[in-house]
Amino acid sequence: MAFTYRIILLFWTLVSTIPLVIFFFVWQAVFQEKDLIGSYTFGSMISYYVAVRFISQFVNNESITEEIGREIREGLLTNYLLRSISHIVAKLVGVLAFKIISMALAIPLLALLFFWLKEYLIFPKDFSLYGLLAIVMMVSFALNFLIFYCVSLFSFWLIQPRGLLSIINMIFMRILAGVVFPIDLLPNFITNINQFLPFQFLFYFPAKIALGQIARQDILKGLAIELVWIIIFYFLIQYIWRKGLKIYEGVGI
Amino acid sequence: MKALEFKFMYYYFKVYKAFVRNSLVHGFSYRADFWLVFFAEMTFFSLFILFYSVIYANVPTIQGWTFNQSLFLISFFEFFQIVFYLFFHPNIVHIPEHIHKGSMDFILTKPVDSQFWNSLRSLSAVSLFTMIPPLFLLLGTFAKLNVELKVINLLAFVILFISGLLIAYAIELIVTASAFWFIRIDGVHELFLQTFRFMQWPADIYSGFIKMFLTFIIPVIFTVTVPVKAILGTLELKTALGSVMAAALLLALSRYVWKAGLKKYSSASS
Repeated sequence: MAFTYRIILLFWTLVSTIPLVIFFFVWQAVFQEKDLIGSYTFGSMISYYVAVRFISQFVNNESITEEIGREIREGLLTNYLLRSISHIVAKLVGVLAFKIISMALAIPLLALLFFWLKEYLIFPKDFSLYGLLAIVMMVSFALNFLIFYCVSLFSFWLIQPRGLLSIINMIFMRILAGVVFPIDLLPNFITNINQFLPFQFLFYFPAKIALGQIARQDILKGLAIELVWIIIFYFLIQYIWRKGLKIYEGVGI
Repeated sequence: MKALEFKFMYYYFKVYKAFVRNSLVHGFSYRADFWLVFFAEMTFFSLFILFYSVIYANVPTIQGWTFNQSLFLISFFEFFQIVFYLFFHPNIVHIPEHIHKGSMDFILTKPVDSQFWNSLRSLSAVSLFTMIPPLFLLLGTFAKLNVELKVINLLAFVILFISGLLIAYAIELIVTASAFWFIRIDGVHELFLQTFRFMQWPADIYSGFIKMFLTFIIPVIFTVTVPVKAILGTLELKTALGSVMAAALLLALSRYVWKAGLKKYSSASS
C-alpha cells in the first residue's frame, strides 16, 4: 500500500520542507540586523532547523492519531480486540515499517538540503556523538509514539477530536518541543516549566545534541529522564485504555 | 444582446443566492465543531504572535518592518485566509474526489457552468464567525500603526484584496484540477496551502530563486503583502498593476485548464 504511492510520498516530503525554507529567509532577515540571537549565530540557527527536520522525519508519529481516532469512531477497533496481538503493538509494528520508507525518502531530501545550505551548516565532526544521537533518537521515537498514542485514545470520549488534537499539536508538539524555534529563545519562565514536561525531548534535545551543544553527562541525564517519561506514559495508556474500552460501543457490530 | 447578458448574470446571481442559503442552514447545525475550530484558530494566532515577539525582542525591524506592521500583516494574513475559506476553499478541496469517484457526472448534468458549481457551491458558515477576531485584530493593529488613512490607499487596498483572493482561487483551482490528469492525487491543494504560508511574513525577506518562484510561478506574493503595503502607503504603482494583471491572467488560465481537464475526464461508471 505505502509503496504504491512512492512518488506522492516523495512529493509530500518535499512539500513538508517548505517551513524550513521559510524559516531560512526569516532568520536571514533577522540576522542582518544582529549577529547573535540568544546564543545562536545564523549558521547554528540554520543547522538547528535542518537537524529538527531530519530528526522529526524519524521521531514523529503524528499520523497515528488520525488513524486510531477513525478506528475508534467507526468501530474498526473491534478487529484488533478479537486478535491475539494487542492494539498498541500492532500500531507500533505498522509505524516501524513505515519508518523504513520514510527514512529512505529522507536521503534525497537531506542531500538537497546539504547542497543548498552547505556554506551555513556547522555540525561537529565527532562520530561517537552521532552514535549517542542515534540512541537518543530511538528513545525519543518511543516517547513520541507513546504520547501520540495516549492523545489518540481521547477519541473514546470525543466525537470530533480533530480541533482539540490540532491545538495540542500546535502548543505542545510545535512550540514546547522546539519545532517552530529553539526553546531556549523563549522567556525564562516557560523554559523552567518546560523542564518538567516531556516535550523538549522529542525534537529539541536530539537537535541540540546534533549541534554538539550538550555535554556527555547531560545527554545521559536526559536519556534517564526520557526513560522515566516512557514508563509514566506506558502506565497512563494502560489506565486510559481500560477506561476507554468500558465506554467503547463498537459501532457496526 | 445587452439584455441577454443581464439575464445571464441575474440567473447566476439567483443560483448563488440559493447556494448561500443552503450552506447557512447546513453549516450551523454542528455547533461543537465550530467552537473547536474557533479555538484552534485563536491558538494558532497567539502562537504566531509569540514567535514574532521572540524575534522582535532581539531586533527592532526585519527588512524595515516594525513589530506593529508585522502584527498588522499577520492579522491580515489570517483574515485573508478565512475569507478565502469562506468562499472557495471548501469547494475546491472536493474536486479530486468528484473526479475519481465519478460524481462529477452529476455536476456536469446541472444547468450551471461546472467550474462555477465546483468553485462556489458551498459557503463555509463557520468562517463567518472565525473571521470576527482577526477583523478586530486588523482594526486594533491598524490603530497602532500611526498611518494616515487616505481614500486612495483604502481603495487600492480593497481592489488588491479582491485581486489577491482571485489569484489565490485561480492557483488553488489550477493545482487541484491536475486531478483530471493524475486521478489519485487527494490533498494536492496542500501544495497551495503550504506555499501560501510564505505569506505569513513580509514578502520583502525573500530573495533569489524563491522570490522569482513566489512572483512568477505560484504568485502568492500578491495576496497578502501587496494589499498591506497599499494601506501603509509604501506600494509601488507597478506592483499594484502587476497584481491586477496576474489576477486576470490566472483566471483565464484557470478557465483554460478547467476546460482541458473536462475533455480529459472519463467518468467512473459509464
